[in-house]
Amino acid sequence: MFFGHPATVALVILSLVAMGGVTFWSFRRSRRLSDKATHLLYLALDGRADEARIQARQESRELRPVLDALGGEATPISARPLIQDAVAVAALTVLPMVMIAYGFGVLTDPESTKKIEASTALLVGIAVLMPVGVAAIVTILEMSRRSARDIRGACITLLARSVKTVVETERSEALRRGANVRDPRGE
Amino acid sequence: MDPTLLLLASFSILALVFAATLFNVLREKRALGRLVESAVDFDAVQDAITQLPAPHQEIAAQLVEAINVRSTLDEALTKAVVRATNESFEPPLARRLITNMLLALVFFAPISLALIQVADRVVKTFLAAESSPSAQVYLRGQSDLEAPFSLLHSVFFGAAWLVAGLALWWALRWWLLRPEVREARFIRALLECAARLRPGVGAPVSARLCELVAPDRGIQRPVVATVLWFLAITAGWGILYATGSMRSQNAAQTVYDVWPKTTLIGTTEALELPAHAGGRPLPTAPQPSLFIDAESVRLGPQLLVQLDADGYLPERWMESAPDVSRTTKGYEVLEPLVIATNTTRVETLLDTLEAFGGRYRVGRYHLVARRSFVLRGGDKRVQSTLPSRVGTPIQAPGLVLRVTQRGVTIVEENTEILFADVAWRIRLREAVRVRPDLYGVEASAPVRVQADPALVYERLVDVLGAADSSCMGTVDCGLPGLGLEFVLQSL
Repeated sequence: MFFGHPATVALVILSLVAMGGVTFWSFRRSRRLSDKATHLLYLALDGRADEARIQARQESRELRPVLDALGGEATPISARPLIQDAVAVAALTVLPMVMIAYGFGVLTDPESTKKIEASTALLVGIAVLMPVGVAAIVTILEMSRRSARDIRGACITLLARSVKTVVETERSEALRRGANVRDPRGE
Repeated sequence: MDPTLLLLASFSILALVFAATLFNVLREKRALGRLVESAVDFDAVQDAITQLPAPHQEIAAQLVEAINVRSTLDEALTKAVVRATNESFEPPLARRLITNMLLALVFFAPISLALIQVADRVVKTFLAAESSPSAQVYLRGQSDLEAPFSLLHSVFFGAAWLVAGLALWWALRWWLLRPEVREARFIRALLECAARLRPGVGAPVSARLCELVAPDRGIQRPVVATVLWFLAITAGWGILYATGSMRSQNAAQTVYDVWPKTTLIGTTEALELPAHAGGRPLPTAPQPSLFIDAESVRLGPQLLVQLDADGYLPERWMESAPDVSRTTKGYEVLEPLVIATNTTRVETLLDTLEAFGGRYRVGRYHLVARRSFVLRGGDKRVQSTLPSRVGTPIQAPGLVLRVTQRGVTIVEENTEILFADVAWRIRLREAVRVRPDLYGVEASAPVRVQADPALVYERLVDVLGAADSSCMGTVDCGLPGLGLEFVLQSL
């Protein structure tokens, strides 16, 4: 049998709602990034690289690696900024921390019934929020990682074309200069 | 359900996922090694491809097929590399999310269950305490809450190891099985396989691409990781340092400030009160004070009798003692406070109380002693009383204690607890604690104490206080005693 301090219980429920909301927002964001990266890749492969570049420029900083890859330079893929994931994870911990701080504050109340209500609400709140919070954090990081890999895959597909162009240009330059270059296509 | 069992189940699951991770790594490495070794003839390679994990099979098969039909090696390799980098090397997202969430819930289930059990126990104890007598609240609460909190402590301790194991597993997975590592391992195997199948053929595009795709091996990341590691250690040390005093207080035995604010009874240098860790607060209704020091017996300022040089009463002293009927008049029930010095003989005490009580129809006496315990704000000094009657008990005693110079004997059990035993007070307290008929709300049975007349008052009060104490440890916890009623007799 439990009875809880109303404000602490409300904070627990708010924390759960916030966790669900942040996780859903993170899921939508990851899906959108993956879809956008794939869309930009298809545009570029379809011969509309300029349009893809324009669209990529209008997107968030997280799609900057795709924009770099669309630029046609054969350079390593830049790292995707993780600031939004860090913010999402930090946001998950705010309300539980407020709940714990508030619960500990109520524990100093001279009325014993309030102390019992606050302590039980704290114990049950931590019992619920700890696994749910960890599950939410793991989910956010997993989705973020998956979208990062999708973006990386799109970048490498574009990079392969750039590398091929660069190698062919270098080979043509070398042949033009009369250097002794072996053409692998003749093997 | 027992959280300890859940903890064991979690450890078993952790061991399984550890084993599964290592097994997957070894299986993949062996399969890729077989692919490279078999890359001397096409039939053997086809065989080796069937041994590869699912995500690798199609890519490797297409590469080998392209090489077999003599298409451009560079182009085939580039395609294979691009396909490998687009492969997730992991189960579908939905399955992975569900697995991760289930693992998080399973690994934290022991802690959650223990927390919920403690919350449940706190509420039940609170509700039970509301209907308990005040003397039992602490004892009941302590005995009810000690086990769940101990369990919570051990579950958190186990969970700490579990989390450490999880971190280790996560690091192992990150090192050996993250998609980028699997991809690099696979691409390397593909390159080696292609080199063995078509020796001497160049592949500049795929070589350049692999160079660009390869993980960053610069010093920047290790430096950042090292700095973060040291910051984390410093933060952990800082938290431990900042909470040192709190943890020290948690480890100390609890002391309670629950005594009412009453004026202490003044004593002289010649009258030193005995000390113990039991007793109840001084009665709120005013009562006359019976002082027994080394030289005399007085009722308030009125001298009743002068003691002899050895501290004993003269013969027939009551006959010559002044009549104090006027002093004792006006009290509904006469229950004098007995303020006796440490060195008073038990014989003197009992004779005084018996004679005085017989003449003035005393209900019972309150033996006053001092309590001294250390609170956060400094020493706390209070006076407590042990309600006692003298002579034959009105009711049948619930427990009989025989106090001699050697120790205390629990007569019913014929058990002697020697004063030489450093834990004699704890042993006596435990013997009383198991007898709720002595101190519960329905308690009516007094404790009969048969004392050796040669004992000093300090020892007698020490025994009574030890029996009455609510404290569990060896220090005075500051709580009032159980509220035992004593009947004092001479042996």
